Amino acid sequence: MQTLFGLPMGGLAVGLAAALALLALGVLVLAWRHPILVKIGVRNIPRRRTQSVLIVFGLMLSATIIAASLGVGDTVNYSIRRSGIETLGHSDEWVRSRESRLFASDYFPVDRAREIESALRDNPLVDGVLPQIREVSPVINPAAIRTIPRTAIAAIDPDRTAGFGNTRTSDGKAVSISDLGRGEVLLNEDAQEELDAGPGARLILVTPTGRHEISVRAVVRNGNLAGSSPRVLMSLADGQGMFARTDQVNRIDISNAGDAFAGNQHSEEVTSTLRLLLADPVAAERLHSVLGTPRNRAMVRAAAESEPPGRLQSRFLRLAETLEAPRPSDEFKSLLSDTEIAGLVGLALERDGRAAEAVEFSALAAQLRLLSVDDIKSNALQDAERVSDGVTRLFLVFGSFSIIVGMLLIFLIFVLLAAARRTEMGITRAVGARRRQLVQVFVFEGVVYAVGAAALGTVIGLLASQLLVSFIPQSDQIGFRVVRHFEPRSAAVAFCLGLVLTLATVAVSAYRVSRVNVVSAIRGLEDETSHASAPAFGGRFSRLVAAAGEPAVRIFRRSAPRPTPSGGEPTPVRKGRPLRWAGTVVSAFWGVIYPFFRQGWPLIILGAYMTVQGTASAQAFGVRAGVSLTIIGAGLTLRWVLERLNVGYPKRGRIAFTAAGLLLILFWSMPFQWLFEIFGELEGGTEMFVLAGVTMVSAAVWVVMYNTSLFVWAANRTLGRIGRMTPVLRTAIAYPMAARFRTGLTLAMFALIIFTLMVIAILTNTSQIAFERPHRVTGGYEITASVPVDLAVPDINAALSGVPGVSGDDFLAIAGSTYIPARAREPAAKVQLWQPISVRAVDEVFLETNRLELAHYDPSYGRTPREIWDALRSDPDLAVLSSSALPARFEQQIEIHGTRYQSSQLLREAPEVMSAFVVELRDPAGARPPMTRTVIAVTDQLADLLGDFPTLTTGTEILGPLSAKPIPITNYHFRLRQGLNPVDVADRLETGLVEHGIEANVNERELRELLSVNNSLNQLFQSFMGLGLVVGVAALGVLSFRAVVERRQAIGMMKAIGFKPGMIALGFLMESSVVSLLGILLGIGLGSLISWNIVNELKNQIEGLRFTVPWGNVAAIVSIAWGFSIIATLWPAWQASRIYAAEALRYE
Amino acid sequence: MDEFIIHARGVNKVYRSASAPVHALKDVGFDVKRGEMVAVMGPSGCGKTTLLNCLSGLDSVDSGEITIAGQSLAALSDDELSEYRARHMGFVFQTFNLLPVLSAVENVELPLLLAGVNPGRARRISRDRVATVGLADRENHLPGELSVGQRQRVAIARALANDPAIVWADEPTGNLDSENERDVMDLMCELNKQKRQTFVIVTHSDSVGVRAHRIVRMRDGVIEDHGS
Repeated sequence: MQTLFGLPMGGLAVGLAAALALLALGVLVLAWRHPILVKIGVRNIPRRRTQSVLIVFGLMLSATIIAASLGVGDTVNYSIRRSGIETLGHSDEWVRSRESRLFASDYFPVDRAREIESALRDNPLVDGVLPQIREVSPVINPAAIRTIPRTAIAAIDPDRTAGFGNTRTSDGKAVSISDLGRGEVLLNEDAQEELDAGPGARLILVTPTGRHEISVRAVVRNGNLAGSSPRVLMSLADGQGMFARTDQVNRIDISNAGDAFAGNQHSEEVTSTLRLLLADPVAAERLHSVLGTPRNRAMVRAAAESEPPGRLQSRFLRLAETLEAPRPSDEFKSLLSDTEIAGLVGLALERDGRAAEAVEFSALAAQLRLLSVDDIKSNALQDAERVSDGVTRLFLVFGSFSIIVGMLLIFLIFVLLAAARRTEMGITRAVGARRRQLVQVFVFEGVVYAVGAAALGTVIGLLASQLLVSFIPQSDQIGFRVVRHFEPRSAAVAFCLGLVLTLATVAVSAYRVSRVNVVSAIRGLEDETSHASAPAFGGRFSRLVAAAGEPAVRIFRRSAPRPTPSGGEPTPVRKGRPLRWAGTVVSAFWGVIYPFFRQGWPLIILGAYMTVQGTASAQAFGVRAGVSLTIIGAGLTLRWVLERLNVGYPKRGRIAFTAAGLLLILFWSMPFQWLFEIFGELEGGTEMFVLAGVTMVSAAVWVVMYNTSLFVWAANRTLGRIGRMTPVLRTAIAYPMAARFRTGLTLAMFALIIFTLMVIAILTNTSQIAFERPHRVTGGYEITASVPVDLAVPDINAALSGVPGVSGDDFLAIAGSTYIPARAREPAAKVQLWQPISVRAVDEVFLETNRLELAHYDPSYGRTPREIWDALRSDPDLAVLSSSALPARFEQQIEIHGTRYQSSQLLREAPEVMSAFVVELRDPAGARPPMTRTVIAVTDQLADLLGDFPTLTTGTEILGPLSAKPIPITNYHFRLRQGLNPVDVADRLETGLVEHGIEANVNERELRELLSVNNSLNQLFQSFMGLGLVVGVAALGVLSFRAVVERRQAIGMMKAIGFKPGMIALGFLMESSVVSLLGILLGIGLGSLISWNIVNELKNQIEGLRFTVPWGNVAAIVSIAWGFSIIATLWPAWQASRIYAAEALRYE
Repeated sequence: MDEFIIHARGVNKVYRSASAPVHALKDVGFDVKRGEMVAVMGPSGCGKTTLLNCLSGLDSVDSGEITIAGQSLAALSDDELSEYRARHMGFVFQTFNLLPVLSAVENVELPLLLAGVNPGRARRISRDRVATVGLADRENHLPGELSVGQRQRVAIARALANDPAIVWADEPTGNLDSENERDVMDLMCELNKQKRQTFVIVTHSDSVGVRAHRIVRMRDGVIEDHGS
């Protein structure tokens, strides 16, 4: 991976290493100044080895989660890059016709290749120019009765393969295209496997000119020219003959200097050179004169300056500068050959009110590019980067729950360490240590744990990532083969980031636990410091003033020394004083403001401000976080007020935090529709999921832990009456409920993880709707078949009559459609750039028989899907848009095409109702005038499941205006008579219509495969979240170990009064079960609540979607989580049961 | 023989520490009559607590025989010993050893529940016991909310919860001031008189010893004086 959250990984690694170096320096300075504190801290480590091992285990989780996320991202990135490289070989750029084959011939004279070759001969960045014919045709092996309807055919100029890598046979011998005789071909390994054809096999190649016999000379390894997926290699001359394209080619591949990976670094420069080379000088002159008028020069500059800063704007500004020159420069030609820049200029003309000139400009700009240049490898590698960045991001978002849980565990560990060492801490303070020195002791100890933990965590995380990628589905389902891989740089980032997070948590925890009342610590009494009220504002403020003024006082004293009360000289200013002074001032300042925060009102103000800002900028994060802060602030204020009213200590906290917790849960469970009505439309990404989880779980844990007495009462009333187990149950419930802080932390850990697992499980489960009503995905057709445009079927019904085993009666409907690439925009929307769209031109039968359903419709055209489709039949100017063309309500993590239409016509109040809106369409090259269609409905999201590209469906009447060339039907949708097996029919269609290269897919099978990919990804995420569960389980283990130590005497007493060893052990197991089951219950409840809300929102877009809890999955989650919590407690429980009563009773 | 509820003969107990074995009890013989209140006294480290632990079955012996109400402790497994303690013995410790997470009445209830008493009845009995020790108005307080004297009263109530035949008390007044010591001893003597329960009290305090029917004196793991 090259980037993480858009930041370059290299820079991130260096930045983190620098931050770590600074931290290390700080720790070393402190250690040098107080070696005794280092000794106290570090010598604690070997005192309890088991505990130290557990601590390292607990602390390593952050690094583990980060390393696992990066490791999965690395594997995905490497696999996609490798797949791209395997497919493309050494080809870095493709030169092709600027027209799609659907609009014109995509062949051009081979002489153009000669010209390019000659122009690039001395270019050191290019080491190969290869003219070729690329086609997709059926290939048949009659001997084995095997057919591949869509085989990639590569007819290559044998004299120009230098620079494109070697081609080797399966046994490693070099073989070249120039070795092939007439009619001889090379098969790659994939083609050999599917056709079952070895060297010498005689095959049939079907082309538009007829059947051609070809002979296999050798089978070659995939990669380089042989690519991947079934491919046949032949000489260019043979290809030109078989496809009747004398002296023509349809693609020129360019290989940049360097190997298949390294060549990519020259891509931008070579692409620019090629574009310049392929620009039409006449068109360039005309464009320059059109844009060179004073009015247009000013217009282009203004438009460029109004673009957001970035690469596009700088290129646009450079274009404006080239217009100042008297003649079109090379840069001018190169810049305008870029469709993005040309699009911006066309848009500027339109906005200037000159639509006609804009059309003329677009046509001229299209002519400028004689041939188009695609930096194909660069795009493929960028796609790999985007996908892997998206995957890593997703993992880190889900992983952030585990990281938070890991931090809670660190906190818990330090709380327990502090509890264990309370007496020592009290004595250390009693002999003169300051609080910050206690913090340092913990920090020194924590640093040793953290370094070990980060190293171990990184290794385990990377190993875990290699296991996790096993859940990524197979290559035929996702388009690439998974190859395990990780970058050393990722290990460095995971180690550094894990260590920084751990150290930060250690520092905060150390500060928190270092607060100790000396007397109560030494005497082993309950610490009352937490209940003590802060000094009055005057006292706090005086402390701040005194701290801030200390240097001035010292300077004054130095100039006029006064004896100290004991009669000695004042203390001289020592080294390091400024740093200490700064620390004292910060601490005093915190002392001044902290009590106000405890009163809550500053949080109310901050929360209200965030809410207002969030509403103004339509950001869900600001609003949600703002309202939550306000509620928390209100809770604190209520507690403060109750304190003023002399309500007792536990009671006031219970009332205030129960109210705040319940309000928070209520706020986060509000249906999104209510939120919309209050705050308007808000935008939010996956960070909202994390915020929701953390806030809801914290709120629920508050409510539970502030009402433990109610739980104990309820438990005693119910569980507390089960025969001989009653005393065990009583103590098992009473102990965790009494240790509120520890239990609360552990509860939060379990609840957070289970919350995430529940949301994943429930949302994945909603995809089952596709199976319940498959016609919403398939349109009610069992088979979808497609043919290459050159082998189109003139009359499908006539063609079917010749297919063995198939009769016309087998089909209830045969609908036709054709997909054409186009550009579209919505004139009423803010964004006016032409966006890619796929126009689905459908025939009468499709409009008459399809059963696709609609998410939104304009009631003036019809109120049912049937009425809407009928409206399209009667008016060819109407169209239906796919859901994927609309702005996503929930942020898409992996968005490659980036096309979203900002339609303002959808009404939130009545989600199914919309107003029709106009969309402008044109061909991709912009060579023909635009046309319009009125969108009267939007298909429901399920209709996009088997194809994600934004699609506009309309009648075939659009084909004429969009393309000068007649476009045939290339897709057929078959509805079968009941009782027929679609798989058999699809096989017969492929065999019977092999001459047309027909590829027939059984829709239900496709759907199943898609859902199995979903399920695999679900398993992947659930396994990943399992890492977080380990933290919760580890926390229970740590707690149980600590409980055995703390309760040694109590266990002795229990044994004395009759508890059997088994009952003691059972008590410990029940105790951990109480915590884990309560956490699981909270997670299930809150996860279900938020999922219910999400599903309800999705219902607006996917009619019929139901909220269902996948109980099987939930049972598995509960069993695993509970089971592991029991396992983690087994050893301490056994230890507790083995405690010897007589010894324990003597234990102090 | 039956008049002795506690009967021990030839009891030896050796603690094997890393440096050298410590002979804590040396051929100890000890008998206590039913309903008797016996104080075991002696200097620190003489083996008083060890003797109490061994007699009550909390600790094992290396040799010798201990019989409680005719039942040989050696014949009981660990679980059977636990059950035996739950049904027939009560314990009072110097540091009270109340479970801090249970209220006074719940602490007292614990041995009853362990003995299989119905929860409703257990609650009634434990309330009665708590009232007996004079803490009826504090029955729902947690130990942390009680004074040390009150805590020890709760511990005594717990020891008496299931009407045990024997109450073992290890320095029951060790953590109390003289006033509380007197109150606690008054309580124990009263209960001993009323219910004819046997009390074995390990103590340093002469004022506790004089309240017992008999004082047994120990030194270096040996009973020097069985009292009279």
